[in-house]
Formats: sequence, C-alpha cells, structure tokens
Amino acid sequence: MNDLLQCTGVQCRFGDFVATRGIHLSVRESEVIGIIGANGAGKTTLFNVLSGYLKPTEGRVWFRGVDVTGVPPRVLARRGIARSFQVPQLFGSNTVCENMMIALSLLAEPRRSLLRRFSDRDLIDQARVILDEYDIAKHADTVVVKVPQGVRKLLDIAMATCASPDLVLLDEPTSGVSADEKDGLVSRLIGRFRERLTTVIFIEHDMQVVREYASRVIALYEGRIIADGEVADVFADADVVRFITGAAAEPSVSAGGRYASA
Amino acid sequence: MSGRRIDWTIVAMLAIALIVTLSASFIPNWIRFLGQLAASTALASVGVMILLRAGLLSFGQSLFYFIGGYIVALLGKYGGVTDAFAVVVAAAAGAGLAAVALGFLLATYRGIFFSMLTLAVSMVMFGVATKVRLFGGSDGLNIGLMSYFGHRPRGVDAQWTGFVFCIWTWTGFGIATHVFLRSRFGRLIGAVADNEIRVEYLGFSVRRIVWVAYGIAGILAGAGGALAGLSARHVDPQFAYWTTAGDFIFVVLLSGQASVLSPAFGAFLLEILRSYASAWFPDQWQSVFGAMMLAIVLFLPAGLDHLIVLSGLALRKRVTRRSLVQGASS
Repeated sequence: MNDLLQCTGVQCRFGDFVATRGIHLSVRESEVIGIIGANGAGKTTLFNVLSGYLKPTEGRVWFRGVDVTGVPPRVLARRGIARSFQVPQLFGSNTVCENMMIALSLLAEPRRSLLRRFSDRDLIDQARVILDEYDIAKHADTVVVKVPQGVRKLLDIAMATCASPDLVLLDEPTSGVSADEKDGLVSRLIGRFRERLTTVIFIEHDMQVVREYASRVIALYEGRIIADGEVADVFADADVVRFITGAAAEPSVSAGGRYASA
Repeated sequence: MSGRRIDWTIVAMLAIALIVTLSASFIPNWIRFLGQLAASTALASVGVMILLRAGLLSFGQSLFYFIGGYIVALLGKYGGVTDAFAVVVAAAAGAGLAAVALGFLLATYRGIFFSMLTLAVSMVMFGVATKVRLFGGSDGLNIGLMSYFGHRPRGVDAQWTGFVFCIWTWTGFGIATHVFLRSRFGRLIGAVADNEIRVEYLGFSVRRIVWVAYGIAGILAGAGGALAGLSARHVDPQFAYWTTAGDFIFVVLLSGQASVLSPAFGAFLLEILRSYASAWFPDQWQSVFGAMMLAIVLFLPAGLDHLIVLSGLALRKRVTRRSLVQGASS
C-alpha cells in the first residue's frame, strides 16, 4: 500500500483539555478527504499537528515513511505539506501580487535567489500567472486588507500551494465565502489538485460540498474519529447522523441539533 | 518595461555625495561638522529603521554605536592603526559580530521585551565603560588624526577630507543596505512584521530573518559610531547611553521609513535642530524636541518622507490622467 501520511495514536492535551484523543489515520496518494465534525471536535488541532505547528502530547506522524512528529512547519512546508488557514494568513501591508511573489520566492524558487531583486520581471510574471489561474488577477495591485474575503481565501491557498506540494491541508476553504461563489471556488480548487494528483485533506462544514467533492470522509467527534470511509457510508453512519449531520437530516431531533454545524 | 531599471534611490545617493563633495570647500566649517555627525547618526538610524520594519523597536543600537566608536579609538591607541578605511571596516565588522552574538539570544523576543532587553544590554555596557581604565573611564578616549591610504592631511585639509570621507562612507553603506532591502530577503523583513505564522509556513525561519536584520543593524550602527568618533576625535561612554539610542529612534520617527535616504534627512534635521534649539532656548532645547515629536506623531505619523511619497503619488496620478486625456482626444 502506498501511504503518503500516517498518524498513530495522536493525542493533544492542553492542560486538562484533550483536543484529540488517539487519532489513527492513514492517507493514500491522490485521495481527496473531507473532514467533518462540530466546532471543538479537534479538526483544526489535527491540522496543526499534521503541519507541524503543534507537537502532539502522544502519538506519531509519518510522512512518506519518515517520522515527522514535531518537525516545524517551515521544514514540512519544504518537504511538501502545504496548509491553508481558516482565517487567511497574509502579509497585510503588501498587495495581492506582492504576497504571491513573497510566497514564490520562499517556496518555489531556489534559496540562493533570495538575494536577487524582489521586483524582477520574472517573479512578477510567475505571480501573475498563478493569480490568473485562480481568477484573482484583477486584484493584483490592491493591498490585501482591501480585497474581499473570497479573494483573500484564494490567495491564502494559492500562496500555500504554489510549489506543487504532495499534500494539501485546507482548513475550511469555503468559510466566509458567499453562497453563490462557494461552488465555483471548490470545484476550481479540487479540480486543480485532482489534475495534478495532489492529495488533499479539507475541513468543511458544508455537507453538500463534502458529498460532492470528497473521495473519502472522516468524521470527528470530541477528538475521536467516529467514522472513516466512503462518502455514502459515512453519511449513513448512525453516530455521524446523531452527532454531526443530524439536524440537517431530521430537523425535529433536538439532541443532534446542538452539534449540527452544517 | 526593460529588465534593468534605473534605481533612483542609488542615483539620488550618488548625486548627493557628488554634489556635496564638489561643493565641500564652500560649505562653512560648522555645517560640515554637522554633516559628519548627521552621517554617523543616519547610518545607525538606518539600522533602527530596518528593525522597525520587522516590527521591532531597538532601544539599544547605542551599544553598537559605542562598540564602533571604541574600536576606532582602541585601534588607534593600542594598535597604532590610523587608516580611516581600515578602522571603519574593523568597527563595522566588530559591531556586526557583537550583534550576531547578541542577536542569537534576542531574536526570539518581540515587542516590549525586545526593546527593554536591548536597552538593558546597552546600559550595562555604559556602566562598564565608565569604570574600565582600558576604555578611559568616564572621560573616554581621544582619537588621533586619520590617514587615508597613507596620505595624512592636516589642518583645514583634514577637516575637508574627514567630511568627504563621512559622506562617502554613508553613501557606500547606504547603497549596500538599499540593495539588501530591495532583495527578496529584504522583503521578508517587512513580512515578519505582517505575519510570522505565514513566513514559517512558507518554509523560512522567522528567527533567522530577525537575526540577520539585527546583525545588519549592528554593522550600520558600528560604522556610524566609527564615523562619530573620527569626526569628534573623541569617544566617551555617552555613546552607549540610552539617549543616544533615543536619538536614532527620534530620527526614524521624524524622517519615516520609506527609504534608506530618509534617515539621512532626519539626522541632518536633528543636528540642525539641536544646534539652533540649544542656541536659542539654552534651557528649554529639549522641549523643542518634544514639541517636534508631538507634532510629527499627531500630524504626520508616517514621518516626513511620507510627504515625498504622497507628492510622488499625486504626480503619477496627474501624469496618467493627462496621458489618458491625450489618448482619448487623439
């Protein structure tokens, strides 16, 4: 079997609070995995562990057969794990194009070219091409704090993934994006990664999006995986209906309503 | 647009240095001296500006100013080295090394912790310098006349040469710093202030960026201190005192952070202001400084150079509008 990523018993404890309790997970190449779960289920914590931002209290993470537990993001980013953020992490005082240029010069260009001039044609052109692909080139010369949330979201993803990573972690790619933009955005993103056979794991609250684009779904509840498998199977799972999708399926069930987040 | 564009900052710096050199003989002595002091302060202030771009306020650049000045004095006194080029390079290198060593510890600190720690180290140095005999105690050390590649000017010539040397040293370090700041690595310094998490997730160590910035700021302050020592022909522990670091911060507040040129104007303004304020208001000259700072913070928080940036923008807008109108009518 061709495992790109593997987690064994990943547990994260913050004082008395346990965010993830013993997550076992293995991801094959070119899978597109949707992670669902209510707020506080440990989804973002899991991403923080996988991308190296948090060192788990227990358990190990393996990437391409190498133990990468506690290896910091700056190293993992160069080994091919890219991560986008729920709240876009951008360089606020720079323009959209400059943000992309900084990302390219750090991730995609060789280290020695860091001493080259920032505003050279070649780098600007590269940035423009990517912005065009994401259809945000018309905002290129605007300072990022002034562009719409949807553009920022895309820019965040474009920056993280500009060096064709092997594994892409997308933390709620559609949050803050208007309903009518949502579908186009996801289909463009997933289509782009599918084309390159990139493995994608995305956290998503919109169950419609998950059903449509994921090839596999993982459901988290209170720091544990309660279901993992084919899309149809997971959405049919009794626990998933009860704790996560419940309200959407049966609005009258009040017990599930509290955890519903779709 | 062609691949090689003219960099106007470099052109401006070279032009200033050339014009000043050619007219140096006609500039009164006391203004030349102010110019020398301004060049020293300007170099150290560029270092403060670089750190401010990374979001760090160093209250201790006086430490490296001190190290630079004292390296010149000690090399002259104990080493017999009096070549101006050699001592400035030695001062910059020595201060740079000290900054690299200290930066290793300081690069993880941010905000008030960074400011206070830099201040503390500088004040410790001040305390040591006032006590140690090697450093001449609180009297400091005198610096002899310098030679320039074996040529040792005297009298009026010495003053002229010293002035021109200061201007060109400022130009040399200024251009080098400008080239560094416009590079891709230079851009990362501002990126650190914007978003450290993103920098780390793009595969680069924030700590290393801050470290390099601190080292470069140290080199610049060292060179500045050396020039100050050469110009006054004397160094004393006051170089390491916190008010010296305060001057550099004042200069950057006054001038803004748009370019390596900005602190030069700020520093010259500071020196002019200081001489006139102390001549006209001998007892209240510090209140003049205070009022000035208040006015800047209230009315022009981005600094004086923002006026130039704004007028540049207005001009460009006007030009494009005109060309649009022409395009429409033709």
